[in-house]
Amino acid sequence: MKKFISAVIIASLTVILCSAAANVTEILKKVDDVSNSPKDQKMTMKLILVNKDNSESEREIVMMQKGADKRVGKFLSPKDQKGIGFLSLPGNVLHIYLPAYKKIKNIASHAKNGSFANTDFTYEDMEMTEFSKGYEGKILSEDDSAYVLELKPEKENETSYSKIVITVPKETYFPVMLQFFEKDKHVKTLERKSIEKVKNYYVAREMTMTTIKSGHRTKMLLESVEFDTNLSDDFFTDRYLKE
Amino acid sequence: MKAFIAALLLFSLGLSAETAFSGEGEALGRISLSSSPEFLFRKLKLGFSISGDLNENAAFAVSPVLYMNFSDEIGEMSDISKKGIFPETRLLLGEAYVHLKRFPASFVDLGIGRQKVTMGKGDVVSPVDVICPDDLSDPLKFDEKIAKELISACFYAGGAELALYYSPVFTPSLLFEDFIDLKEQFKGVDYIRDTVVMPAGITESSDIFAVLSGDISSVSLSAFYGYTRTHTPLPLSVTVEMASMTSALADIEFFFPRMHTAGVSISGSAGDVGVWADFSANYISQTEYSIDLSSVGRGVLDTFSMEKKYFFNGLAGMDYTFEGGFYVSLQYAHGMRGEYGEETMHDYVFMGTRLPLMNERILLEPLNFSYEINDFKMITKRGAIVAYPKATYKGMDNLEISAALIYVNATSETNFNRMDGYDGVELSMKYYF
Repeated sequence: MKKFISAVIIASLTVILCSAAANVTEILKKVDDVSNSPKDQKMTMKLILVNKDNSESEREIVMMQKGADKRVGKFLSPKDQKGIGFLSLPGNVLHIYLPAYKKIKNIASHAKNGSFANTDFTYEDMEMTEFSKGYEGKILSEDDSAYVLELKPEKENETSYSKIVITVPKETYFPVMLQFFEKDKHVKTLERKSIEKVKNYYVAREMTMTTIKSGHRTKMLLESVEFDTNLSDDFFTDRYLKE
Repeated sequence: MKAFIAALLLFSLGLSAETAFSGEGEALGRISLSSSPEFLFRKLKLGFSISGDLNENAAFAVSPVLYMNFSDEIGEMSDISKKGIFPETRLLLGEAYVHLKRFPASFVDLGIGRQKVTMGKGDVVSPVDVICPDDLSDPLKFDEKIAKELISACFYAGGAELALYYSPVFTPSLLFEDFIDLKEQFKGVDYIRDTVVMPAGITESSDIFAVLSGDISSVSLSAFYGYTRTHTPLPLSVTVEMASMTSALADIEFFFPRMHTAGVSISGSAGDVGVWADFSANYISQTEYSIDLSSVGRGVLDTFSMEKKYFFNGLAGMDYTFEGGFYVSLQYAHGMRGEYGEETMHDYVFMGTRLPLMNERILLEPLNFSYEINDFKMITKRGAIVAYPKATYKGMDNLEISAALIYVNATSETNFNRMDGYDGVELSMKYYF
C-alpha cells in the first residue's frame, strides 16, 4: 500500500513539474513572439547616462536590426563619438569602425560583455534575446497580473549572465523588468516603461538600465522606430559602416 | 588635379542640402623635468571638418587644420619684433574629397580628392600602411598620417571588396628635424649640402595600389599590392669636393626610389583574445649609389644604402579585455614607419593598457610603452624604451584633459634615440565641437 501511495505521489509530482515546465516554455515563446517577431527594425535612440550625483550626458544613435542576429549602429552624437559604428553578425562577429583611424577593428567575442559606449548596457544587452531558446526557466512567483520567471542559460549559451529574472505581465507578455545576475550576484536591472504597440509589436519608449554596485544608470529613450521596412542586407556590411 | 578637386568641392558645397560642421581644438605642451623645467614643445591645433550629403549617393568632406607651434627662441631685440612672441602658424588641408556612393553602378563607390587610407590591421600603427605618407614630425605621435591625392574605386561583391587607388602626385613623409644626421654620417667633412630629387612628371609621380579584402567566418583577411616609392629619401649620389685648401664639401643627392610592396593582413580572435597580423614583402628598384671622390684624387666608389633590394616587414598583435574593462594590447613589429632595408630595420614591442574608472570619466593608461630592439643578443645594451603612462579626464562630453609622463632611455644605435631629451610631462586638452 505504501509503495502504491509513493508511486502515485511521484507520478503526480512528475505531471505537475512537466506541466509547469511546459507552462514556462509557453510563456517564454509568447514573450519572444511579442518582442522578437519583427523581420527588421530601424530605430533612433537617445541614451542618457546618469551618474550617482545625477549629472547627465547624452548620446544619440541610429540602429538597425534584421532578424535576431544582424545589427548595425552608428553614433550621431556627441561630437567626439560621431561616426563610430558597430556591426554585429552571426557567428560572434563584431566589427567596430573608428573614423579617426578609418579602420574597422575586429572585436573578440568576450568583449561583447564590455560597456556599450560607456553606458550601463553591454553589446550583449543590445542584442535581441530569444528566451525560449538557450534558457531553462522556472516560475518563481505568480499573481493575477504577472509572472516572475528565473532563467538560467543552457550550456551552449555564451551569455555572460548566470541568471536572469524577468517579470512578465500576463496581459502583454512584454517583460517590464529584467534583473541580471553574474555568478548569482545581482549586477544590473533593466526597467521598461511607456510601453506601446507599434504595428503589431510592443516597444518600450523608455528603458533604464541600472548598475547595482555603482548606482550609475542609463536611460534609453526611443525617439523613432520603424518595423518591417525590408531593410537591405547592404546595411549590415563594413561598406555601410564606413559611409 | 588640385584645381579640379577644389572646383569639385566648391560645386559640392554649393549643392549640399545637409552640411555638417564639426571640429576639434587641441592644446598640447611638453615640459621637461630637469632641474630647471622648461617647455620642450607647445602647440595649438584647430581642426575643422565640413561634410555633407549632396544626395543619397554623393557626399563630400573637407578638413582644414590650423597648427600653431610656439617658439621660445628670443635671443636678441629683433626676435621680439619679428617672430619670437608669435607662434609659427601653418594651415594645412587634411582631407578634401568627394565620395560617390553606388556610382556608376550599385556595386561601386568612387572617391576623388585628398584622402587618408590605411590597409594594415595593426593597432594604431603598421609598417605596411604605405598608401599615405606618414607625419613623422612629432616622434611621440606614432599614428599621424598625411592625406594624399587619390582616385579610389571600391568594388563590392558578396562579402568581398576590391579597392583600387591611383595617385598622380607623390608626397613624401613629413620628417622631424635631423631625421638623417648628415653630420654624423659624414664626419670629417666640413660642409654638407643636400638636394632632394623629386619624381618628375605625372608618370614618375604616380602610385597604384590594390587591396582585396573579405571575411571568412569571423576572420577578416586582405591581400594588397602597391607600386609606389619610399616615403623617406635614400641617397642617390655623394660628391665630395675641396671647398678650400683645408676644408671639404659633400654634395648629397637624395631620391625616393620605386618600391613594389605586396602583403597580407589578417584579424580575428583566438578564443577570448583578439589577434591581428600584417606582413609585406618589399622590393626597392635602386639601392646603389656612388661616392664621387675624384676631385680629391680618390676616384669613384660604388656603395649601397641597402645590402639587398628586397626586405620583409610586418607585425603581430593581440588584445584582451579583463573584467572591469581593463584592456591590454601587445604588439610586436619588425620594421617601422620610414624604415627600409633589413639592416636598417629594428624590432619593436608595443604595450598598451586602458583602465576605465567612474564609468569611463577617467581613463588610466598606466603601462603604455614601446621597446625598440636593435640586436636580439643585446636587448638591454642596444635597445630603447619609451614609456608614456597617461591619465585622461572625460568628465564632460566632448572634452578631454590629459596628463602623461614621458620617459625615454635609448642607446645611440636606436631610432628612439632621436627622442632623447623628451623626458618630462605632457599636458593636453582636446575639445570637439
